[in-house]
Amino acid sequence: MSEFLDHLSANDNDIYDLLISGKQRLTESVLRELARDRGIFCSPEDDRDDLADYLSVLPHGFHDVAAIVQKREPGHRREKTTFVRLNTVMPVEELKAAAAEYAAAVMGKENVVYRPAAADGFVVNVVYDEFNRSRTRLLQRDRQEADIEFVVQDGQTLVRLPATDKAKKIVAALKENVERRRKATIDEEGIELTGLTTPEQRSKFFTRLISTLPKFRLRNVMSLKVSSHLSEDGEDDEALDLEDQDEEEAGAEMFAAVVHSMHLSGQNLVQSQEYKDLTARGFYITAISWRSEAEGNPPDIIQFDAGFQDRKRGTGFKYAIQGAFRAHKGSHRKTIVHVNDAEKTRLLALLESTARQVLTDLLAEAKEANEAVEGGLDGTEV
Amino acid sequence: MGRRYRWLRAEWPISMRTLGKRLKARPFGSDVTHGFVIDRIRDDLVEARYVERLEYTETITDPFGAELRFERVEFRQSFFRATAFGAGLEIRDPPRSVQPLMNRLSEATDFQVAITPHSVDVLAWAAKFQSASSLSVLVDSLQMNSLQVEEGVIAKVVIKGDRDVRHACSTLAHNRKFSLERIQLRLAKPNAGTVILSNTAAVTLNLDDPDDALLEHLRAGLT
Repeated sequence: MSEFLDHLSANDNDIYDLLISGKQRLTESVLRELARDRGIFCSPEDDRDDLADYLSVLPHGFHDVAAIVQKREPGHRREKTTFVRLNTVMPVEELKAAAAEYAAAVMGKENVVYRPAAADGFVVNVVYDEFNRSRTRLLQRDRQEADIEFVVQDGQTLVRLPATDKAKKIVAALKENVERRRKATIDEEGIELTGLTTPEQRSKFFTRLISTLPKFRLRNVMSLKVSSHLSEDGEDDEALDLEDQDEEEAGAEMFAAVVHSMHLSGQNLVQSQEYKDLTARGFYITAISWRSEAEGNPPDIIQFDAGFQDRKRGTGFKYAIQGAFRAHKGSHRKTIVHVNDAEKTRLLALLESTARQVLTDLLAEAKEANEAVEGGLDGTEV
Repeated sequence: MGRRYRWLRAEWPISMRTLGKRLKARPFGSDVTHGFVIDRIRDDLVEARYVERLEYTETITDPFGAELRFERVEFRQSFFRATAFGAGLEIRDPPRSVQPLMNRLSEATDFQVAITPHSVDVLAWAAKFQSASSLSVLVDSLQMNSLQVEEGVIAKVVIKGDRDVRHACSTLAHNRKFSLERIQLRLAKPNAGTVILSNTAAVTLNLDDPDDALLEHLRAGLT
């Protein structure tokens, strides 16, 4: 009986864990408030531990616990964004049907809301629960939200989604629903650097992205992640020389100190001697965060962030607008502020189109360079 | 008002002619908001200006709550001299932030250039300058920072005098740790005035008659 009740109710230990873990949200003053709501005044000399300890042994009803859990929830988390382009126009009706089908399939587990948006757009909002069994009992359920946006652009459909596995699964499911109705497959296109093999080309993708953003000029690069092309799990020498590979690898591990990746933070990093040395040694950029100043009026400074989920292969491009430093009397304010949704959408679209353009250019250049090399090797017919 | 110079260490991956050509490809004009104006290109140096046009709306609220709006236009110029020798980059009268200029130079060199701060020993710099220019130079003021008074207590001191203050400085420091930030040199005629050297490789010239020879000695003293 008591064991069964344990599954349904929260005991003092659970509540204590809940109270003590959320240092950011459940501050000392919040805990005091919880006590005050019950008409209890605690000594100002009690610290957080004492307060949590005392509160946890008080009787808690369901609503009390629910209120604490709600207070404990972190503010809306800002996920990075990613996008895929589908090479077909998806009318709102078709998307509506696909979304309805998806909603029916996940009924009871996920809450799906969809609506048409401006300019033939379509928005699907999915609220779902994520479970993390390693956390304390009352915190295992994490409510997540995924906003998925479909925008029709010159004969293609652009899907903007949070860079999470779940969001990708949802988009894949929606796409499959549409494909099943149409009885035809839809091609996807994303930003992938798989075609760019040399470290220089990989780095160039980022340096071009930050320098060619239209109507913006680069001010500062504050954070860089660089990886070596010799980094771990290299798929180059697979299955060859099986017999002596073990020995050699063991030897390499024993003696060589190897740096696979590094995270630099500071100011004006792309001008630093360290960055230059690293690129000379074959490191390339895999993630970057930078500030650019808008040209025109007002000249706000926007802080951007871009990188790849899979650094080695260069797939899963994700990016974010971290905020803005507003222009103020010929200079800029010192504090970063949120960017509103309309502006954010505009900036994300700008980032997407620039990234695509840069990638197309670089691929063309890489192809030319390859052809030149091959031509040079054959050397006869031209 | 004096004229200020600042040197940064820059290693150019391309020749100065190429750099000049690339800067010329990004000219400043009435139709763009920023760009370069080239003054001089030689085999081993480029002298140019980076010009930015800033437009913004200033809003002022009067005592009755009505908003007045003014469209403002400002120009920011950075004179610079890129050299294949010496420090690599010299900026004249640097604006508050040299970031925009640095980023444009990076873009022009495909992010291949490294531009790093130059830190110098001001006393050695002053000595080199004096011997090279053979002028009569008096160190009549200096500023030291992080003078350790006690464990965990530091002082920032400005020393001024009517004669050479270096001796007074060492008496005051008395084997304690400190860093020398700035020194002021007073020059006798014909170039009467002061030269302030700072350990970030910056110079302020307050001279009646500054000439290029003087500047050349300062540049040479850096390396």
